[in-house]
Amino acid sequence: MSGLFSWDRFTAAARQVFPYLPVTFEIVAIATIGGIILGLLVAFVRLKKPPVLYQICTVYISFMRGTPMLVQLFLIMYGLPIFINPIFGLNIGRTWDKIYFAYVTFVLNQGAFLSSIFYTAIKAVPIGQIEAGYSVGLTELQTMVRIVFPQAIKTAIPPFGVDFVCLFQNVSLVFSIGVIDLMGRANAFGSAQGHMLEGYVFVAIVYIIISFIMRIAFDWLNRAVTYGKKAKT
Amino acid sequence: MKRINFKRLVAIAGIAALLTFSAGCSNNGASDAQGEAGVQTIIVGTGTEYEPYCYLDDNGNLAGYELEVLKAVDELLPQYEFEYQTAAFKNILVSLGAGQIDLAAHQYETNPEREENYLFGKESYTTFVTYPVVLTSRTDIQTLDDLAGKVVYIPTGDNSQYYVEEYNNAHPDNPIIIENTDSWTPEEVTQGLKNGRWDATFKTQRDIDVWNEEYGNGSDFLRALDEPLQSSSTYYLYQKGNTELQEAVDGALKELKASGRLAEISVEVLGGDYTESE
Repeated sequence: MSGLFSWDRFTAAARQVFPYLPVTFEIVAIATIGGIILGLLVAFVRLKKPPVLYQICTVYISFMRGTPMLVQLFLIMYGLPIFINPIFGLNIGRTWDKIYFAYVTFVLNQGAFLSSIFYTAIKAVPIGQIEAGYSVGLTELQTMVRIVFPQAIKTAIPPFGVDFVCLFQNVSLVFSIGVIDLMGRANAFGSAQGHMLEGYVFVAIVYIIISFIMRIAFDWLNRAVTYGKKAKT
Repeated sequence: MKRINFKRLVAIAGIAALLTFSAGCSNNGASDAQGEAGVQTIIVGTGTEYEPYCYLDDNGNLAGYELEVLKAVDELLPQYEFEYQTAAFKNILVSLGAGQIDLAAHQYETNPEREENYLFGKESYTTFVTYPVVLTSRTDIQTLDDLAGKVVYIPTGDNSQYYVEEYNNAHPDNPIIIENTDSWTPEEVTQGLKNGRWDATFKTQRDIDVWNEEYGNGSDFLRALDEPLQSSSTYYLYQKGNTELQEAVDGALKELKASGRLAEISVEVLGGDYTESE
């Protein structure tokens, strides 16, 4: 088995693969920011239940949560141009860099997952809190912003952290639509060298470090939003 | 209060949607521009995982035989400018069918199914003779018939699939068992052959030479059977009906063959002239 792993190839892999980490970060950042905005909007639709929009959101969430990420990537990659091209007179299938399809897919995907996290977090705030807000003369919006949100955030952060780490790992799928990220570069490195293992080991180490940092960051965040009596941790 | 909130919500949603679209639109135009003096951009789709045909070099740039030949073709065709996009092997033809690329280059051989869906070039640029490959120690396997009831590995989307299925259709009582996987790493395939997961796979002689050198520790552990599974050549694929591009590229390939440039590229990149016959 000595031929399977060599440190020389490992260092070469590290040198060539690492510069592609920003591609992964970029997709994660856009997916998270877009996902939070979309997730909040969808969560409110679910709370307010406006007709039509509510049904659309229900279908959207069950689709995004119930289908594999890879399927979603391909549906957006090949399906989105069919809808967009005739409306805007464009040909995004050809003109868009493949990474834009990754952005769209991950924003839609995160929007669905985060909306569920936000929705349950808001629902988890006891109704008495809202009634208390109204009773002192706050408007609905004021109650939301000043009473419900601060408490909901605390409920939302742990699942948000888990989702975030998953997102990082899911981004490695973008290679299949032609975006070269960390994983894609490791694959290409492996095939050029004829040896895959070193690239994969390096990618695994990078992902472990990232998820470790994320865990510490979310732990800290979790403590930071513990208002009032500090929980013993 | 409820009403105002809801309106505000819809407004935010609208703005967000608009922003998303405008972000996308602003990126247009740049690459699809019909350019100066009617130079047309042709999007070429190829892969990154088939060394030495298409792979990424140390700096992450596309390299290999496909690129070198297409560069030479592009030089002969002033009316076109080639732009290269990479994707996983099995998705390149999907992109071609969806009109996202104009030309697919990944050592494609013809088969009736592909011919039904895509337009093949008429001028080949590499020969492609595929042999069943087994371990040298497997003296029990000498012909394709010996593989009946045994397990062979074929990567998803590989042309060998078609010919093995043809064989199986002709021998329904004792077919060759096909195992498809997505990954296409020679290291895994050779390991799979070594540890007996698969009895055989299908490769060109030049691929077998490379594998023996890379993974054989100095000895030839793989051998090709005498009888090839099929002899064919590789062609570029185009969208159905795009004969203008196909004829132009075929013309350029003819020129490259006549001038000896194509053979030169083959020797340079593949280590032998595999452009006319083997």
